Amino acid sequence: MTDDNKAALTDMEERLRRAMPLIDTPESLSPDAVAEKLRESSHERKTPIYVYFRNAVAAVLILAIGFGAVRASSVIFGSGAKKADDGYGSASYDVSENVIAGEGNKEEVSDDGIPSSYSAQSSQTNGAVITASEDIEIMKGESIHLALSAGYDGIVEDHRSGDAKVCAAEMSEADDGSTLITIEGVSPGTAEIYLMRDGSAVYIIRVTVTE
Amino acid sequence: MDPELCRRAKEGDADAFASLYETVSSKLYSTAFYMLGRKEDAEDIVMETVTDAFSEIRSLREPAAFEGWIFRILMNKIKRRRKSYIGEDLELQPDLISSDKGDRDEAVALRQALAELPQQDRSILVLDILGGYRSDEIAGMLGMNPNTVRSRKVRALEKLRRMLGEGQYDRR
Repeated sequence: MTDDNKAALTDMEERLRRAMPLIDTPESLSPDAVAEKLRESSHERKTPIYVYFRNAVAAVLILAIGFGAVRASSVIFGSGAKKADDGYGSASYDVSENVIAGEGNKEEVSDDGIPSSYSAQSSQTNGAVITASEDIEIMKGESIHLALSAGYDGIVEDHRSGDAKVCAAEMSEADDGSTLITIEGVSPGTAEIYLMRDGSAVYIIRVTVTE
Repeated sequence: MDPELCRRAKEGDADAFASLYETVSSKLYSTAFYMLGRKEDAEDIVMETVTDAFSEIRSLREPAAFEGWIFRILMNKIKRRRKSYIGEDLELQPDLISSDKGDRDEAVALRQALAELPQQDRSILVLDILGGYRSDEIAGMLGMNPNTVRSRKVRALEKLRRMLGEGQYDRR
């Protein structure tokens, strides 16, 4: 980069700095207002224990009646590498989740502070009970690695873009003994990967591969 | 970051958490505003961030990492909120910038150009310029490689220059 270019970029930074001054927070976000709001929400969370028990029983009954079976929840977490959108460098990929069984959405903030939103659902797929799912988007040629804390004994891939192989998935054992799953984008399209336990698919990863 | 405040916040002390939040409140709100372009959405997102952070602060191991940690939560929320904007133009609110006419026009043009950058580039510039974060800190907040942050920042600045230089924006 020439000195002229560097100077031009520095000038642009300065102009941006002037165009984006720090803004005072509105009254609704003042520390006092926030403390009050947090106290209120903490108070609201103090629900009588019988309510949790009642809701838990109701949820189990609904699931049991609706799907015939409820699988225990599983845990998936991990990290890996991901190419940046433009192919330059790489970006880290982290997920952490306490997967719940049942229908609905659950939003989690993982240990490292990255909030992750996952849908967890129960449904019958080819006779198997799926207790949780995750959507992943990767680029063609990119690989991601997920470490699985729960014991899965196999994977089944289902490609849904004609005969083209959308992604390749492989299970392996990490140095620390946990199970790793590596997913590589092969061609654009969508695919599903089922994580199997005791012959049933208990976790579904929907993979979208982009160019 | 005060470890004692952090310890009390982890025990559910809302006032202690609010004191931690106070150290970053203006940066959080400004970042949300420049990323989303709407005061109301910025307020919502910051409040959501604060609520989530308070309920999850027990998972924060190092008090010193508080700022980066809460910014990561914010940036993820912004990313999700931005997805709901698809097809909508960012609403620019120039009342929050300089009252000087020349500066004001320049700021409006720059912010319009900034709004048209890809989200990741915009995030990098806002965190760098507004927050004063280093590329490795931004990388941690956005889940990127520090080298990628640096290269994307340069390209984003070049892109802004081209956008402004092409006369795409009325700078009067």
